[in-house]
Amino acid sequence: MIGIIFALFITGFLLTLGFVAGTIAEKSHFKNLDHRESVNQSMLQTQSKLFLDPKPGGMAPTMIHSETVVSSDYFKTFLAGFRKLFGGEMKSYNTLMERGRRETLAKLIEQAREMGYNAVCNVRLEPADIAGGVTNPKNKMVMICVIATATAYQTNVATVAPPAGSPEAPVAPAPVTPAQA
Amino acid sequence: MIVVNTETVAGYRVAQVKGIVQGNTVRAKHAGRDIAAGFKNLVGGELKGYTELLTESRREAIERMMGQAQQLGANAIVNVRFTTSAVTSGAAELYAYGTAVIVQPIQ
Repeated sequence: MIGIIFALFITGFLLTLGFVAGTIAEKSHFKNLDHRESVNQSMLQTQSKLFLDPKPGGMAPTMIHSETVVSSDYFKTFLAGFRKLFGGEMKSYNTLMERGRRETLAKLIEQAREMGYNAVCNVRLEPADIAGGVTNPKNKMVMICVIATATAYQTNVATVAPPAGSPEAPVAPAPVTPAQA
Repeated sequence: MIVVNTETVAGYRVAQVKGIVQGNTVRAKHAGRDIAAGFKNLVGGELKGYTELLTESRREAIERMMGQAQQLGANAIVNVRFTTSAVTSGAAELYAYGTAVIVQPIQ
């Protein structure tokens, strides 16, 4: 009996810890991302394989890459486990993926700027399974990993964001308000 | 050496194609990082240790690829792609491949 109460207490404690710490971490992360993305708007970001208006005689283009691993918290994992019973959208993991992607992109752009480039093209994002969840289903650690690759170059364009809807529309996702898990 | 993931290089002309070059690395994370990640799994947040590990591995794969290109006498690699695969639990492979070429600046 005492064992059961103790187990319930531990679970309750972990859920509260996950909820409080996870929510604070997520809020501050989104705030940080919003700020960095607004700074990064000055870079010409395209997903096209062509160099849009390269600067003649500029620095040679170079490939840049960045990666991010974001971990879930106990509360989110618990919610997702609950969701598995009934099926449907796992909203708690949506924001996790969003954080991973936006963080990776922001890092990528910052790297390009530090190197002295003012444009990136051919931005590619892909997920990776590094936790080994595929090869070992017993691995209960929930983490998402996003890797991004792009080519940085120098452009003549006075770094204006291309018109929305054009093939060169910016790849950075529009800031969305984080839906609560 | 110019390494890009586009098919062309701005300001340069591809003069000669040398063939496909590749580089890979299989990395395992160490136990200390695993324990730290286990704690982070309760409170959520970025796993900096794993991020660094990935960055290192990617750099390693790119360097091996560049080594191959150098042996072929190329001065650039275009259209670089990456793939990852989970070899076993706790180890991941990073594979980079691209086309080694000789490029000349356009006058």
